[in-house]
Order: sequence, then C-alpha cells, then structure tokens
Amino acid sequence: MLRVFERPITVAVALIAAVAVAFGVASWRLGFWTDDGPGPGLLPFAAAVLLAPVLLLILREEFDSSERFHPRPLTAILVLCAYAFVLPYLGFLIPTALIIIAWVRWFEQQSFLKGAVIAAFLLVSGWVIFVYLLKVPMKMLPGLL
Amino acid sequence: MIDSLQQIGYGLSLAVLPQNLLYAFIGCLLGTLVGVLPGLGPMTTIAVLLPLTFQVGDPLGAIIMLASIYYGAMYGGSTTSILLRVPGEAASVITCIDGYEMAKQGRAGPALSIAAIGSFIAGTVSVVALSFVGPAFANFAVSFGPPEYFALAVFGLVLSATIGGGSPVRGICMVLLGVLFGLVGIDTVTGAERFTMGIPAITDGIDLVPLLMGLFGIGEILYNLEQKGEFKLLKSKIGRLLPNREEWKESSGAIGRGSVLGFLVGLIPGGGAIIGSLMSYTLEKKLSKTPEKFGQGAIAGVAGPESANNAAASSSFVPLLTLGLPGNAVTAVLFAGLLIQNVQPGPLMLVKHPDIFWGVIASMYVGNIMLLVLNLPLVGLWVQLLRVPVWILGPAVLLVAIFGTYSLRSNWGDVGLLMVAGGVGYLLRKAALDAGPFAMAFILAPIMDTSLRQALLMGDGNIGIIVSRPISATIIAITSVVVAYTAYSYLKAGRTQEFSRPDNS
Repeated sequence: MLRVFERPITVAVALIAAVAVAFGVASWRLGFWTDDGPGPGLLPFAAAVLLAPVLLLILREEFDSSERFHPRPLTAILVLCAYAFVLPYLGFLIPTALIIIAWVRWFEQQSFLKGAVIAAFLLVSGWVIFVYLLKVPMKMLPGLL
Repeated sequence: MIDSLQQIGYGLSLAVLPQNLLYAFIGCLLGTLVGVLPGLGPMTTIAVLLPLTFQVGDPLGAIIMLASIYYGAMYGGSTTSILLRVPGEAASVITCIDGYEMAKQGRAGPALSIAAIGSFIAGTVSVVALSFVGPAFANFAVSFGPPEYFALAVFGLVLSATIGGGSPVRGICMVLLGVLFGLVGIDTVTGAERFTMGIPAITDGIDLVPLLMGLFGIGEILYNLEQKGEFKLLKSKIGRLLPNREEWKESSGAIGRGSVLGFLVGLIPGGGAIIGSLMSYTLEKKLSKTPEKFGQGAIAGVAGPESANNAAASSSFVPLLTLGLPGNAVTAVLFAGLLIQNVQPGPLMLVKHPDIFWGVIASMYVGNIMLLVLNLPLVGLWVQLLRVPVWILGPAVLLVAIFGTYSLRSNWGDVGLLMVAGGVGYLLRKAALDAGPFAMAFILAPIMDTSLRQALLMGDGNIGIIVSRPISATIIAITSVVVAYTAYSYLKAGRTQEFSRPDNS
C-alpha cells in the first residue's frame, strides 16, 4: 500500500490535495462576500476548488510510472533543513564548512580532502564578496557579527 | 518613430556609462559561462544572483546584469549542444540534433560561428523591433482597468500552463497552487490576514526571493545529484571557424525567419526561447528543399533555432516591462529583481522609470556586440571550461544561495524558507510538475485578486463586466479558445500520452 508513495507524482498530488483542503477551509472562513463587496476568500476558494478535478486528472495520467525518489537528494534535503535550523545558534562558518565537506564527500562522492579544499575556497570567496566587499553583516561565529 | 529613436539615444547614453557597461559585461560573461556549463541554466543563475543585484543598489545596473545573463546564456548554450550533444541550457536542446552531427563531420567551427552570428543578428533585430513595439504596448495598456488586467493575468497564466510542451493539466495545477501561495499575507483590500497561521514572518506574504532561489536554484542542484556522469569532449578539431559560401547561403534565410518567428513567440505570454527554437526547427525542415538533411548536419537546423531563441529571449521583455506580466519563468524572476529595486513593471514604467526601460533596451544592443566578441573568437576558451569538474557547481550554488538569501534581510527564517522551497523544487522536478507556471501565478496572484474584486465592485457584483468591455472580452474570448483547443487536444491524445519533462534549468 505504502509503495504508491515511492512515486513522486503520488506524493506531490497528496501534498497538493492537503494544501488545497487547508486553503479551501481557510478561504471559506474568510468569506466570499462582505458588506463592502467581494471578500478575501473568493479567489483562493475558487482556486482550491478547481484543484480537485485537476488533481484527479493528473492521477489518471500515465506518466513515467518508473520514476522513483533517489535516496541521495532526499538525504540532502534533510541535511539542508538541519543546517538551516542550527545556523542561528552556530553562525555561518562551522555549519557551512561542514555541509560543503559532507556534500562533496557523500553526495558528490569525492574525497574528504577535496571537500575541505572546496569548503575553504568557497567560504573565503563568500566572505570576501558578501562581508568584505558588500558589507553585509553576516554572523560567521556564535555570538559574533 | 522619431520619438522612439530619441529615446533609444537616451537609453544608449545610459547604457554606455562605465558602470553599466561593466554590469552588462559581467552579465554576458556569467550568462555565457552558465550557458556553456551543462546543469547550470540561466534560471538557476538569475535566481541565485538576485540578492547580489540588491547589493548593486542601482536598479538600472542590476536589471542590465540580470537581463544580460539571460540572453548571454542563449549564446553560450549552443556550445555544449554542438560539441557534446548536451544542451547547456534548455533552449539549445534542438541545436544538439544538427549541431552535433556537423561537429562529427569536422564542421564544428561553422556550426559554432553560425550559432553565434545568428544569435547576434536575431538579438539585434529583436531589440530594434522591441524599441518600437514596447512603447506601443505600453500606450495601449495605459487605458486598462481592473477587468482588462484580470483578463490579461488569466490569459497569461492559461498560456503558461498550456503551451510549455508538458501536460496542460499539470501546468494548470501549478498555476492554481501558485495563486494560493501568492495570496498568503495581508489582503490589500480589507486588511485581513490570509493564510498566515499567525506567523509574523509571512504577514507581508511569502518572500519571493528565497522562494524562487529555493525552487529553481536549490531544487536544481538536488535534482542534479541524481544525474551522474562526465562529459566527453568530441575528439575532432573545431576546424575552420567561418562558414563557407554554401553554408552562408543555407543559413541566411533560416536566420531571418528565426529572428522574426522568435520575436513574435517571445511576445506571447507563456512563449519564450524554448518554444521559439522548436518552432523554428520545424519551420526550417518544412521549408527546406532537402528536409532529409535535417538530423544529418543541416546548418539551417542550427542557424534557425539559435536565432529564434535569442530573438525570443529579447522580446519576452515586452510583456514584462510594458504590461507588468512576466511571460515565462525567467522573466518572472526578473520581475522579482525589479521589485527588489522598488520598480513596478507595467504600462507606467515608461513614464515613471524611462531610464530603466530605455537603458535596459539599449544595453541589449551593447550586450549583443559584447557577446559576439566573447563567443566567437573565444570559443576555444569556453570549451576548456568544460574540463572544470561538474561536482564543484553544487556546493558553489549552495553557498551563493545561502549567503545571498541571508544578505537581503539578515533573516534566518529566509534561509529556512530557501531550504524548504528547494525540497519542494526537487519534488516538483521529480513529479514532472513545472515550477515556471507556479512562479508566474505566485507573482500575478495579488494582481488577479485585486483586479477581480475591483472589477466586481465596478459591475455591482456582476462578473459580466469582464465580458462586457471590448478589450477584456477579446482577451477572455482568446483565452477560451486556447482552453477549448487544449482540452480537445488533451482528450484526443488520450491520457497515455507521454509529455515532455519540464526543464527548469
């Protein structure tokens, strides 16, 4: 049963359906018409309702049924979200260096050394462009600006 | 006519200012670079570089740079198509067919030079035409009221969803989803909060820049993690660079037709460089006395599409700058670039920001010359760039996207949104759902919502006002024909039809 969720289109349709229901309910509550005229819920409700037949049609399309998720990008998404979560606490320098090394080593399947060299090069370039030249206040280390 | 010439002169005086020449040069260089490198398209690059243009400070310089990346990529994209049979960007897909065959026959030089020369001629023709068509569009659109704007937005979104080559149903799905997310935030008419779930960060709406950078930039590098492989350069030499008399003869008509066709396709919302090049190839094959040569190294199969994609890239600025209607995903990102600079594209842009309108157009003349110089004599140098390991691109895009997003508002939440949007972008790619119509709908949703409600107020609650005014009625009639034709084709083709996978790069 759960194998249907290996297909990207099934996952996408399920998520879009959930989004449509949530927006549809919220639009209903906002109202379609007020004393002054058309309400804020009118257009989003119409869009949410129209999504229902569209999603059904998509599910009936036979498109690339062999397409499956690849573990590498899925892991990368989790790593990126974890990275965004720790950034405010650790600053840019350490998490960014680690993520580039990890990216090069595991996602691009290159050596640690190459990862370290690329991380150093990109971080120095990024610092020069954004902090030194463009004067953007970037928090590079915890507690520092 | 004279007025337009005077305005072009004014634009040229701005475009040749040293700082604007520098921005155009940087843009052309970056554009050629991303056009040459497979896996990194103009869409990704423009999206990722958006925050940097904010730091530029000067709106004209910023837009010149973004625009030149776009048409620069159209030039550079042909190089890998011809030498590797790998399109450097989506609009050069069709060039692979005959360009690579020519390279195999030892005619890579003429193929590369005719692509660059065709691009130059088409780009120049398109920019000249744009100088005259643009103001005409803007003057016409000044009289538009809410019903016309609503009809125009619906027209643009329907076309973007249906003529991209993928499944029209999936395109419509993305448009509807884009409308929903585009309406998150404070309702400008009543002041009510919509779909914010009490999160202060999205009270003013979901921020466009991290969203686009995530969808197109991070989404693309995540998708590329699946695509492994090294590029093998063709062993044969590039050979003589310039085409011979026979090749010139075969190409000249194709370049002329490609320029006109591309220009017209670029004007249509939903059209653009990819469709322009596909249509040009079909046209050249139909008109050819020797159609059997197509696919075997016909130079017209390179000259036509390469001219068309450049002409379309330039003319797609017309709906963006004069109607405030981004016609495709790339111009949707450029729309975001203008908004970052507090410039609202639309009919009033000619009045309020003539410097930007004419400066950008004039910079395209200058940019076309720069690109010819960059691409033709330096083709060997660009080919050497293909030796750069592809795996470096992912971390580089990642770092620029992260630092760039944060630099805009120093907001950690934006980096989180960037990552979530990246995950969504990957999912959409995998599900063959094109993020382009989503981006366009996201941008146009507030305009659609406000104009629909204002139109309803004008009509005392009667939606019939939209079909009772001549311009909006005509636009709605054309839209209905497009919808009916698409529905008919869709049903006729059956549900088992294979649709092309969208290419966001």
